[in-house]
Amino acid sequence: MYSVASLTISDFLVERGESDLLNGLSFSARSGEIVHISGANGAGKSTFFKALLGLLPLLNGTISLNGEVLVRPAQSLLSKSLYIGHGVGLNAALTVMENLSWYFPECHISRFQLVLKELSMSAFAEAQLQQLSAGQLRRVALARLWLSDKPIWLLDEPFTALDQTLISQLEAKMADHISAGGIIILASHLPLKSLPFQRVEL
Amino acid sequence: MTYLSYFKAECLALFRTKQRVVNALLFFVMVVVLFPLGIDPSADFLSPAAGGIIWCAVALSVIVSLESMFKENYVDGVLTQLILSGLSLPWLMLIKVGVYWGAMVLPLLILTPIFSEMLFLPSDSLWVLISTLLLGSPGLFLIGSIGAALTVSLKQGAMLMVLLILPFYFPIIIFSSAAIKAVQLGMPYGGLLALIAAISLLALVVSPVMTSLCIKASVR
Repeated sequence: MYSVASLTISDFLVERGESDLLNGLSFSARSGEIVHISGANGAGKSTFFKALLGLLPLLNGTISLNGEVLVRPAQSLLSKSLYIGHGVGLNAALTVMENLSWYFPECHISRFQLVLKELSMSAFAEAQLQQLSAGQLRRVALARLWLSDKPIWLLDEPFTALDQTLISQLEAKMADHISAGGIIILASHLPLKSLPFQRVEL
Repeated sequence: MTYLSYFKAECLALFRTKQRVVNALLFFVMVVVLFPLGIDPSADFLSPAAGGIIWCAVALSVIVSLESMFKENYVDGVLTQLILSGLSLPWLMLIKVGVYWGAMVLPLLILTPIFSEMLFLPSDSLWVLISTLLLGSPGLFLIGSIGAALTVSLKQGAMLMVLLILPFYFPIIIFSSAAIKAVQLGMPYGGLLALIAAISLLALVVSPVMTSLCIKASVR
């Protein structure tokens, strides 16, 4: 079980260019819950994650973790959360295996092989990232979900470029995560098929 | 992610993209070779000018090697993950600059005796030249990384970066060539070396913090 009980966001307001985004967005996610953020293009889904993680300044709003209001930039939130955004966050000059061992130096190589096998990427373990397709790159980026032990997952459009098999695999992995007491906040245009979620419209 | 695993990843990545370092070194070689061809190949002219020529070439090739230092990491979202890693960003930046410095300065130190011979640099000045390179080049890389970080989100940032950081290279270049001139005239040069070291040490303190501030401002 994870040690995070709740993550509460209240009255978020972010300035992006000329306009204000997120207009007082508030929600609360408890351990074992999925929050699904939806909205039109440009509604501020990615902006929300960036503001939450401290990459963008907040005009207004508070974040509380386990009932405790965080002072930004919130190291305690960063140390508990795993963010996968639009950029894959992988070094293009390295191979798949080298990228994973850069992120998870404590993991044994056999663990990586298991995860890559599950994502049907075993054949590409020693391939350089330049040789991979967009979907395969996403798979490598998502492999971090299988390897990490962070309780809070922040996923910005995790289903982009994935095929049907992997979408259902990812949903199964999310189900495992929430049943273990994790929290998932994801932004997507697609609704989740098989999982209960709390819907937040921007 | 740990500091050690980041260091390893950076070393590997730079080894894989070694063309970048090779390009910068070729640039250094071209500048040094073109000077005597363009102006005057005689020992009378080259001998006093050698230190300055080599230092200008070093400064320019350092800019060439640093120009795209953060570009790919920025596009791929690696910089975002570094900010969110929970590790101290200034230390990560220092590791990255250190790796680049090591990869550039070792081949430069091997090339320098060859080219100083070509430029008729007296052999007693060679050791001073090498000392100025060792003391001054960390400053060049540290200052350059601020410029590279500041312009990382711009599409045509290379020229702006050069304009921003070149003025900060002037003291290092001036003191270095002055030290080489001083030894050729038989004057004391220890104070000049100390000044170069002081600039590099100041850059060592300021640069990682400034670089990480610029990275944080660029990644949005």
